[in-house]
Amino acid sequence: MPDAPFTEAEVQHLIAAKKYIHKVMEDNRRQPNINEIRLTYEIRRRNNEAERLRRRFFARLEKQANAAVVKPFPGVSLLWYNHRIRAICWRLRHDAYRDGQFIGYVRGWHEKQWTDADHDRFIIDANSIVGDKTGFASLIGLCLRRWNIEAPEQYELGESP
Amino acid sequence: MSIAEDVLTKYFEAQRDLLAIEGVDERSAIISLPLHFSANARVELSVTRVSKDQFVISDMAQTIGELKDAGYSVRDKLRERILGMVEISRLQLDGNTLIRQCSEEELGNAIHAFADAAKTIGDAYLVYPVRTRASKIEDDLKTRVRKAFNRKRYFFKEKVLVPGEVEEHRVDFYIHPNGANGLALEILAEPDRVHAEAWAFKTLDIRQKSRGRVAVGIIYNDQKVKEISRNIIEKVATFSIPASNFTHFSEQLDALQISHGV
Repeated sequence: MPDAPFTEAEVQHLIAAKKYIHKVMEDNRRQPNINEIRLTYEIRRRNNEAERLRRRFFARLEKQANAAVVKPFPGVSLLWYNHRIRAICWRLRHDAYRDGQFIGYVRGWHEKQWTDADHDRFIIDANSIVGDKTGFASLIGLCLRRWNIEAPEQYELGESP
Repeated sequence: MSIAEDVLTKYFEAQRDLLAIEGVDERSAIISLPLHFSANARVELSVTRVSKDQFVISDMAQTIGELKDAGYSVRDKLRERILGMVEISRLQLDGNTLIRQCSEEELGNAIHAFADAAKTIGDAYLVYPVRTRASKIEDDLKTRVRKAFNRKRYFFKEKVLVPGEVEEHRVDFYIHPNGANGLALEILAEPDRVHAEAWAFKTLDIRQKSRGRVAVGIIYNDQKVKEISRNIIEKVATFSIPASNFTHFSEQLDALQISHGV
């Protein structure tokens, strides 16, 4: 695996710190004929507004290709230097690794949590965390709260696509 | 039981444990197969009965989704390549979703071929490590340069095109000479030989055009530099500073009597 420019401790410190949405980098929800809905925010740390450390909050929902195909679930991730340090997504079954060892699997919603040894391969069960909030907007709201990112109210308004 | 039967039985038992399947509604089910994209996420397919004898298999856009999550920009060229890879398995690409239609008789083989094709795409693109678009050391150095300029009240611009005799060159920081000495400063986080040689040319070109009034400084990551690259950088730049020796940056600005840019 490639070396990450941060450690697990720095990631945990970052998650615990208060953060906010500095700017909307991408939001294609109003565009016609798109294959996927993409939403990207630049995230900065509260009380350190000038610091720019390439943190992005990224949400994605693939459009249902046609009526014969099962509708995909949305996925949300928090990227730091393009590495997934947190993510909540759905898989029927996802293997979990801790210190390079296979430790079991999670069915359904899971949260990827960055570790030094396994990077984004360590996951925890997030079915009880997500519950019935499986819409695009509600999952974004959940992740913003869970990862300590303040958002103005209007970012959370609107029906799930 | 013969050895062949024994092996086959054990294999099927293991496969049964490794597979996961869940019904979505009365027409559709999702199957999770013990195949992984670069040993991480599993290949998962949805299977929908569309008529009595016809089924549609899809990857629920997860294959291309994995590529996107790994930092690939999935545009026309990559789509063409993916289509080329999966043509033999009779897969189609609808938006970001891989799809295959098959009869009930073909279903088992079709699932196997689909999963194999999805894994091939994943292996072809995901086995290479994710490219970090910007390095932390580069950002840290830029922050330190900004602080040093602000502390000494230099008026500077970032990402500016500086004219050269042959062509224009984009530099990380620029202080206009304004009748005195200017400065073009570049941060090299990956100072390999190609970058060092490119900056040797850029340095000479900028200095020639400005008739020596614009100094070209290079701050490089000395943890990644090789001797040959270091030699090129040190010999050609007006001044060069290894990242571990950044404290000398302010002294260099004073020594060269760089204009404050206003």
